[in-house]
Amino acid sequence: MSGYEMLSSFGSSHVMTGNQLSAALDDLLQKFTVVAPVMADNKLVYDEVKDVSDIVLDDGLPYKSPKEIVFPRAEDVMRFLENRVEEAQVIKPVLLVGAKPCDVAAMNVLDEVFTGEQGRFKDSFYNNRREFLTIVGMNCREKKAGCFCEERGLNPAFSVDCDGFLTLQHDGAVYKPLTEKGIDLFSGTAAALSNPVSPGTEPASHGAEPASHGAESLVLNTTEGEVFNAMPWEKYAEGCIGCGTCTFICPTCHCFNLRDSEKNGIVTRTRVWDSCMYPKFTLHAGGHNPRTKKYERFRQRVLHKYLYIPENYGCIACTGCGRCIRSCPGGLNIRNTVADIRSRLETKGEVPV
Amino acid sequence: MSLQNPYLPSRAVIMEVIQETKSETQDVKTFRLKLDEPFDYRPGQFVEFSVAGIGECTFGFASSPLIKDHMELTVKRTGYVTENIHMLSEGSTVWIRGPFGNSFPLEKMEGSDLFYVTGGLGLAPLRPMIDYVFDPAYRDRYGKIKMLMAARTPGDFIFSYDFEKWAQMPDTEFYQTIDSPAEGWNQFVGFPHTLIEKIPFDLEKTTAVLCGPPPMIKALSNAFVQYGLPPERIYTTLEMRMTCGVGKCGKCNIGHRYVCIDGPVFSMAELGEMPSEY
Ligand SMILES: Cc1cc2nc3c(=O)[nH]c(=O)nc-3n(C[C@H](O)[C@H](O)[C@H](O)COP(=O)(O)OP(=O)(O)OC[C@H]3O[C@@H](n4cnc5c(N)ncnc54)[C@H](O)[C@@H]3O)c2cc1C
Ligand code: SF4
Ligand code: SF4
Ligand code: FES
Repeated sequence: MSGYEMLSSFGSSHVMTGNQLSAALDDLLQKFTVVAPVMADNKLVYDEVKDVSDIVLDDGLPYKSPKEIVFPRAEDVMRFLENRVEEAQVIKPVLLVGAKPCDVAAMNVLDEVFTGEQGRFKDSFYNNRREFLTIVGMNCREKKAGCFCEERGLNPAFSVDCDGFLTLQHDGAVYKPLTEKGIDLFSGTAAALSNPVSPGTEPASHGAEPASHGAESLVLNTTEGEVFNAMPWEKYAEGCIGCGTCTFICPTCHCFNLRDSEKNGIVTRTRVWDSCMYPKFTLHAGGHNPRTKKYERFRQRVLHKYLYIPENYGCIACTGCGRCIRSCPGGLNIRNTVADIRSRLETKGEVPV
Repeated sequence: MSLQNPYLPSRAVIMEVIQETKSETQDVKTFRLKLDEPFDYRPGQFVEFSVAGIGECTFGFASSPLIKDHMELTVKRTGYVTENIHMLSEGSTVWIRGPFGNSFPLEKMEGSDLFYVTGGLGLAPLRPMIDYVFDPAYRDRYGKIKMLMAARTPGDFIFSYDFEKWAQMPDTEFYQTIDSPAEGWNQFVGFPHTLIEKIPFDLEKTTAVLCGPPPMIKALSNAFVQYGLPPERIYTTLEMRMTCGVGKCGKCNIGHRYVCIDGPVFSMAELGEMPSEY
């Protein structure tokens, strides 16, 4: 069953006033580490919530993505004992509230890569955290400069790929449970028992597939042979200073390194973020490097998202969140790059840059 | 390696360290290991090998999978971790997870003549296959065998203690070559791709397996193809920088293929369809 076919089979939606929602989330703080959009250093970020009143639900897309919940920037994963290694234990239920549909979609990409059927190996460190994560999505009502989720076939008003979805309305929200985890979440609260949505008042977005769903415009239906050498990659990558910001800020980027360190005689292995935008990323010990040039690294980033992951996992690893575009000091733009490649493919390469 | 978690290594102890290269740098050593939790593997596969506190790196198996009481890895000193590995001695504790990657398609090669060409350290990942095919239990599944082993100087050959044994195997021709003439050397001189025409082989029946530095592989496979050997019957094993070995860390891809899970063994036909970013 697709998510949309399953819609009707889960518990019915219910209406919550702003106060009821706050009270419910306050209850949930006892059971979960709650992560939600909050202000930090003048930026909206997904971060751990200490007080429910800190949650900012309706201010558009947070600056950073929520991937750090399941893929922390530096994570101690094991330590070496005398004759065996000990895996780090992370049994901490986390509730992510207010994830925008693009970030919900990004989590699905990470799921595919780290724990999906087609991945051959299951990444236990990711899985340990993911199993304890409940995600409540929320509609996005503010499009930022550089956002292009709709071109990527996403619906900013709704997503079925999470445990439950909140649609903000006047004073409050309608909550739609989408999985067992999502039903359990608010099931004990007064709001759930007393305020089922009356027939006909469920937000239209809760059932409808997004207009562009299945007809995504920004995809690359092509092969490596068609684009690898044939596109003006040097032109696209002009201005890149190789800082790696685009990869760290991206909700689907997941490259990493493993590092050992020793403290008080105990050796710990840590998984740390890495970036394909750095020349050392592919540098062999002997000095050979398959990607010495900036444009080769940018090509890797674009094609990894739009060609290689689709080929291997059947999903595109770019949600159109626009974070890399807004953050790039060199003004690079993955959306425009992909759009340009598309028009060149359509016109057989005759578009002037 | 833990069955549940492919990142968790298990312990191994170094039983013996063998100095391989005799030239001044002495930069290649073989480590014979006893594993706490031994596992089966196939020729061509690799492991992730750690020294706790130093780090992890990737090595192909260098001994026959038919040997059950120990395992060998051959390590060239090239950087931080390998330098530290070279300082280890008998009795040191190390850590291993694997096996990873695909393997040489031994079943598919049955009935073929085999032509092995290796350069320098490239002999190491091929040794499990060489010894497997020479094993009396499997030898009659394969036809004639030609071996051309290259090294920079006479002192740079690894496994030279095995050469006499291999050269005397039935239906086997064994050749060595070095880059430039040296005193007392009476075998081939020159790069392997210039020599294959001096070693007659049956184009219809032969599968070539090539391991060595990338420039050698490129020149050699071109030479074989020009000679008329179809790219489907030329195999090699690739090296890319690796971290995870399990297709997650994003380091080792060539186009959409990951050398750690789709490779490291590829036929030239497969490589021809991949971007040449390696
Ligand atoms: C499938 C495969 C099989 C290999 N088999 C052998 C072998 O049998 N014997 C041997 O001596 N070497 C082999 N290598 C190469 C070996 O992995 C590198 O030489 C080694 O990782 C260098 O580590 P370093 O710390 O000394 O170098 P540094 O340059 O200090 O590297 C730091 C880290 O980068 C990574 N790295 C650097 N170069 C490579 C590389 N070429 N391949 C993979 N990871 C790299 C490692 O994680 C390493 O720990 C193989 C590589 C691959 C991919
Ligand atoms: S953020 Fe921009 S400048 Fe920095 S690495 Fe990415 S593309 Fe290059
Ligand atoms: S590539 Fe850029 S736009 Fe696409 S998901 Fe990553 S940060 Fe967002
Ligand atoms: S080594 Fe990590 S993806 Fe291949």
